[in-house]
Amino acid sequence: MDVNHIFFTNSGLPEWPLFKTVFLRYLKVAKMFRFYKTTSLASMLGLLFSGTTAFCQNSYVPQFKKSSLYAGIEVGSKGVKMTILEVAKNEQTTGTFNTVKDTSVNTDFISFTDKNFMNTVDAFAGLYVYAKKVYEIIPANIFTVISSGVVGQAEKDGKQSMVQALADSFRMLIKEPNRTVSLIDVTEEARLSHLGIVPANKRYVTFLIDIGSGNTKGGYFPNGNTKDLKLFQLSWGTKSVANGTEKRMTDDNSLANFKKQLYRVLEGTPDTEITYAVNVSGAYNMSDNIAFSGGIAWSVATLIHPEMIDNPVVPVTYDEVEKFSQRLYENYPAYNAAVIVSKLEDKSVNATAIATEVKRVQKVFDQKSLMAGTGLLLKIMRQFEGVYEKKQFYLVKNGQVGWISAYVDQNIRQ
Amino acid sequence: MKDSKISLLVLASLAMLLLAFVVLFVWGFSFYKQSIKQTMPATIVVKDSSSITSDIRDSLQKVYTSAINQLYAQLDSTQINSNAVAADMDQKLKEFYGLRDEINVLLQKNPSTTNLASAKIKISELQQRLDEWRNRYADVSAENKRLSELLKKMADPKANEGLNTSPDGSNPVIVNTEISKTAVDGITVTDMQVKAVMQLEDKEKETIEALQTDLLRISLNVRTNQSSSIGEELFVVLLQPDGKLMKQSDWETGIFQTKQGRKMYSYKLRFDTEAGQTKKMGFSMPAIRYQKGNYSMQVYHNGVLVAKMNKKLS
Repeated sequence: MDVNHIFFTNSGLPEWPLFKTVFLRYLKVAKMFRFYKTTSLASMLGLLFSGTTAFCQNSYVPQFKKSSLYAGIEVGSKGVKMTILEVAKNEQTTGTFNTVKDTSVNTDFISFTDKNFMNTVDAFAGLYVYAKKVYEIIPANIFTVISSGVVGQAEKDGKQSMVQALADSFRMLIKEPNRTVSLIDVTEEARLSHLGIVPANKRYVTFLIDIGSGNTKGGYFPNGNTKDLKLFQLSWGTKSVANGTEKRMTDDNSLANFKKQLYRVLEGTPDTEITYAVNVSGAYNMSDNIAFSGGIAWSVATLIHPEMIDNPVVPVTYDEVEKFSQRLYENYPAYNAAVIVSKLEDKSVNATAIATEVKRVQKVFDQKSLMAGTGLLLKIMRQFEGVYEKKQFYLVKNGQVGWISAYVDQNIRQ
Repeated sequence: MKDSKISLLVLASLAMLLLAFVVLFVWGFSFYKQSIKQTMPATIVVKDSSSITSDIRDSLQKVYTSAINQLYAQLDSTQINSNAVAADMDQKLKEFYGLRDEINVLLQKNPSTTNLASAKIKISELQQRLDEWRNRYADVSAENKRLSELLKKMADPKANEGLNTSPDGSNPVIVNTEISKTAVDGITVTDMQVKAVMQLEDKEKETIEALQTDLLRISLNVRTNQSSSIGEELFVVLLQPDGKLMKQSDWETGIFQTKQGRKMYSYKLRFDTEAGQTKKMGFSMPAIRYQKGNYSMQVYHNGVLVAKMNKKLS
């Protein structure tokens, strides 16, 4: 698909509003590039982004004697994520890296509105500029991709042209017409996530499931190699469960009704789909560990075990998550940052950092979204909670850096 | 006549000039003296290096004495309340007295700057231990209470069934002692070992030196006396000499519930056993650098401490 196809209708007339807005943005960003020379990038990005983001000055201290910086920028369903990695030069073959920065801008691209499209283009270009200017990463070391969730949803809604327009607008804004913006397919994304998240000693006994906002995907390596991934997919994610529940609520917006409708939603199509997908995957017999990543995994891990703030992975039991789910409904104030901090038994932990992280969780997920996400998480966990064989459940908090680190590692090796 | 008048005048002028010089000299001298007074301290005490050393030693002695006093006070109350954990105490006491003797030697004989510096380090180590003791005091008291009740219970021969014994009778100390029979029933931990090993090219060699240690190898035997069990879990808490938890990896650590509250574990051992069958289990604990001192290992089952031991690296 070329640019003409995007900006011009079948009748040959240009889709003027979209063309105009992209062109105006181009001018604006081009102007900002010049403006950048006289002002700080942080303030420029403040102007550039209309979404929620938090940037700080580049306080990067190299962890390795000889290393290079790489960045991965991904347009996902909820927004644009950027991960900056420091990769040791002499260790490149073993993939030793240090996560320097991990940030995101919420733009809700998959709603496919013009406003969200423009916000996504801005964020995509803005993060690219940020990596290039603030961290001085050379363009060859910046990988730009569009996730499978976006591509899948665009196909469902017939909005493929928007995805292509996004890539083209991005290239135009950053003045790199030949830049590769890869569309990652779901299997490749799941494979890379597994490689990036799960340590080598657990690689062939761990089933990784990424609960996204619009879908759930994951898999495991059944044949003892990292090429063949047994894919697991659900068309439900945290947001789609919450949306499905909201749709059923009619006039009664009470929490009690939300809980009732959530139960009905989860007992419907998701239940059938989860049971089928887990059975078909054969993961129950092949895996000792079931690891969950995604926003809801991060939130639940942070709220259940705040003491483990420094751990990127938190082991949990089915009972713990079930109790958490109940408490979310019955006593939500118990998960207030101040309450959590006051109940910390280990006084050596960093209470301020915990409070900040809990507040971050509550910014991303409100009570209802947490209930919806936890409900879906429990539904999947239930499939692995056997009487005769107990699986170890893990909640992965930094799942977003997973696939990009593996992607960078893979590209460096090539 | 006129000449004599002139010479008188000259003489008078000379005398005046001389007087002016004298006045100027006196004023100048007094000004100089005053300025010296302002710049110099009132008294200058010249001290030799040995007296400085002695002062430092005295201040260190004070810190040391106060630390000792606090430690004695702590020890007294701990000893009164914790007779049942005497083995552990003895070891702690031995370390404490050892440290105290070392400090005494350093302070009393040839108090050179180097000795004083090392005395200072040892005193801060002593104070650090005091803090650790304070933190552990609560645990020790609770444990003592439990152990006292166990002693009572031991009078009843039926209650002796669940008690684990150590193979060498000293270290490790196996404490399958929970009063609640359901919490411990069935689990017996034996042959618990923490080995510090250095990895050579093709083999491993045991060591007691922290500097030579490449990893700690932990092993233990578990036996269930009851019916066969599936998915049992033992939580191992391994603390470094500085009191910090050792972790094998981010994926192996986690939180578990004990009677005293939530605790972080270093490693979780999962096992299935048949009744009466002994299962040998183990894991290794790598670290970038091993500290000198005592490593403490505790093993919990269902939130109850079932075994513990210490390992010293010098």
